[in-house]
Amino acid sequence: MAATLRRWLTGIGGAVVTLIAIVAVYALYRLTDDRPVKYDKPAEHFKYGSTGGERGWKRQFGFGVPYWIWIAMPELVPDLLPDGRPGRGYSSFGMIYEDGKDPRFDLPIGMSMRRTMGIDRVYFTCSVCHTGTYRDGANGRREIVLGMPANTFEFGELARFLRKASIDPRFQASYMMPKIDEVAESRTRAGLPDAPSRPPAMGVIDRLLFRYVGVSLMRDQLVSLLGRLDFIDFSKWGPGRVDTFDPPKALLGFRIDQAHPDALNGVADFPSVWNQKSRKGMWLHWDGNNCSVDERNLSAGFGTGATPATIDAKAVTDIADFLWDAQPPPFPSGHVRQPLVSRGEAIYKEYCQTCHGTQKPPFRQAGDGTRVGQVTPLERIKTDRHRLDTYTPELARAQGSLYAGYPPDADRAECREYVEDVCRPVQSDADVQRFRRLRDQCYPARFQHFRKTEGYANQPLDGLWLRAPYLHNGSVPTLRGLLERQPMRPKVFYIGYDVYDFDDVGFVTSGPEAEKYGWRLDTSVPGNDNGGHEGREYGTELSPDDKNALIEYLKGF
Amino acid sequence: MRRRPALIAVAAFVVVGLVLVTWTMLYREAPQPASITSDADSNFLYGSIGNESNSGLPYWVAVVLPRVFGAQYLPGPGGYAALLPWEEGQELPVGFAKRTVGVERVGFTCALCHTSERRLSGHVTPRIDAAGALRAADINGLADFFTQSASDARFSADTILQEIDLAYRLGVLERALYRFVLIPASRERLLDLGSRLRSPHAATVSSSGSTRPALFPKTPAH
Repeated sequence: MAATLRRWLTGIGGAVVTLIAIVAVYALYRLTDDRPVKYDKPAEHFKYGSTGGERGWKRQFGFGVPYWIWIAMPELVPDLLPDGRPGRGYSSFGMIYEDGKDPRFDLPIGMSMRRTMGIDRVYFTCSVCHTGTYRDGANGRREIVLGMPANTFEFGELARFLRKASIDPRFQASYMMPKIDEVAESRTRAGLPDAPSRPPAMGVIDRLLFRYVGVSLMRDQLVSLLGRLDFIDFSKWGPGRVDTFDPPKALLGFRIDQAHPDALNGVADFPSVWNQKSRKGMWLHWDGNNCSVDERNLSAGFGTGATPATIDAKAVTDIADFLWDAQPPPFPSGHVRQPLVSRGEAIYKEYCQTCHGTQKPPFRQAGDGTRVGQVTPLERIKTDRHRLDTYTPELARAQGSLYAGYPPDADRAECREYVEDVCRPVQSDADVQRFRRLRDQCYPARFQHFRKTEGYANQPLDGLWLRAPYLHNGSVPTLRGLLERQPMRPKVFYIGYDVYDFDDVGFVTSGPEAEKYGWRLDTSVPGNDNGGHEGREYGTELSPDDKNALIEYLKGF
Repeated sequence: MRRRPALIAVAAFVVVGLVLVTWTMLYREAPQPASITSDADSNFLYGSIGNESNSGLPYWVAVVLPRVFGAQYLPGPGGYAALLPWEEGQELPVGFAKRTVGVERVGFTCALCHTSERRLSGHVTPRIDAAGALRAADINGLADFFTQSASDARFSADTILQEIDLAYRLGVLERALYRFVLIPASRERLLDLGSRLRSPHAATVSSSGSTRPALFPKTPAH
């Protein structure tokens, strides 16, 4: 009798121990799981490759949104979408779905995926703000251009949507789980071929985890992230624009309630990101606050969720290397009035080249373009000052503590040399090789090149035609408008509509279609002022013929 | 009986190991880099005066404190830059010396009080004058910030580590040291600093009646 009992107890004990061991191994496997969806081609990696932002570290859960929640959200709360229409994924935020992708189940350009903690999670990558589209007419073919400002993407609207969704009563397991099942079922019915970026349906354990933990954890994450950014008025951004330097203030614990309101309104256009090799050593960002392409990338990378503890350094430098020599597409030659070009070139050289550099990289050559990549003081350029003011002297200093502790051997000769070299212009292939050798040993490194300036940086004009609207805040729709004095520039126009205007050089920003699909930009709103970059030396006094010729030449950039 | 020598060897090994780890993590000193010590100005601004261990803070507590409590207890936006002179490109404000004593620590130096930040006409970027006459640093503000942060209910190993985890990957041992030793001790240290920064050259008498050393030793007038 006692022997039987003992045998039973031993059996139960053994089973319990085995079970605990199995659960422990499984938990360990899940918690250490970290597999990005990888792309071999550099362009694909730029479009969909992960910067590491999905994953967490210790007490940080990471920014990644579970794929199934991302896919189900527009279907769960369609009334919160800008156009209120389900079944189109995130199209209504101007996110770009490539041909052959199904917006209901696939990711748009600029979203990456990584399996961490056993969950397929998605978050932003660089291309979300740096890939745009244009069409040559309302019925024209949509051309997707990598490295171009994301002219249609409404980042602010997406943030507002996530904010509203995260506090909506439907954002809980009892609503979310049935919706996920429904979406998974329709994906099966759609019969899409397998792809790494289309993860399998949730298993039994995943379903339990989501029901009891995952959904509310995700909600907490969104509420606390967006809560930190509560002081930002996302409705002022519009398509193709972002407030770059206010979010880091939240990250750095700035006392926002004591900040000057004019220092919290830094809405600016997304920049293009081609030709980074030639930009090495120029003053970058609209106000020229940093000369290091690497620091600039890491700083922007925070927006993709990549923190010093979670960044996938190799993946990010792979993106940087893709952009190193990336080129803008040429202006469609059929729309260039060739005979005017040489006259335009002469005008450009007289008026523009000193600040904006030559037509092709490296933009600055001996005797030419001496001021390209340098800062022009605000008193001279006189463009809207809000973006400049939002970047405060205090922020420049506090940013010096970002990426603190990296690289671990910062005092090594190579890493000191890397920090010196990072702002040196590239002169030769040997320079590039030396720089990459240093970078690969010492990247990422603590921010050491941020500074406060008193103006805006003179940028090279590569791909100029795709960088409309113009000025740092996108307040002038076309090049033709930029060659007029402020009173003649459009006061109200519509941005985010991607049909191109090949005559005035810029997007179509007026008319019923633009009004229907675009976002109303009112230049009288603080931050949107369309003055500045005007007067004789800026070409606004040129004769109409000279302006026409200059515009034809500028098409060739 | 035959096992005893083996046992002794194992025990000795463990003891020696523990002593070594403890020494490495708490007491091992490393010099500051030559980039700080070889230049008179940087040495004044960031050079250690050897007080990291007995009146400084663990490096990561010093770094993340404004990120956790700055929005509540600093007088304005800017982290430490809201209070103290800070050179662009530097990881810490003027008067913060970073040095390894076991772990990396931050000590406070003469330059914390004796440096001014001037705005010269035409420069928005403040210039740092070592040993300047103008008193630009808001030391009372810093004292308040330390006191209020340490007194806040959110001051805990969990909160501080959560912020550190956003900024750095601490190793397993160092993280444990932060959780169980350094962060709890920092609370006391911050309260202590809060009172001592108000009269940095005077020996202070604590509530228990014992005399504590001054934050900075008194120097003869010259």
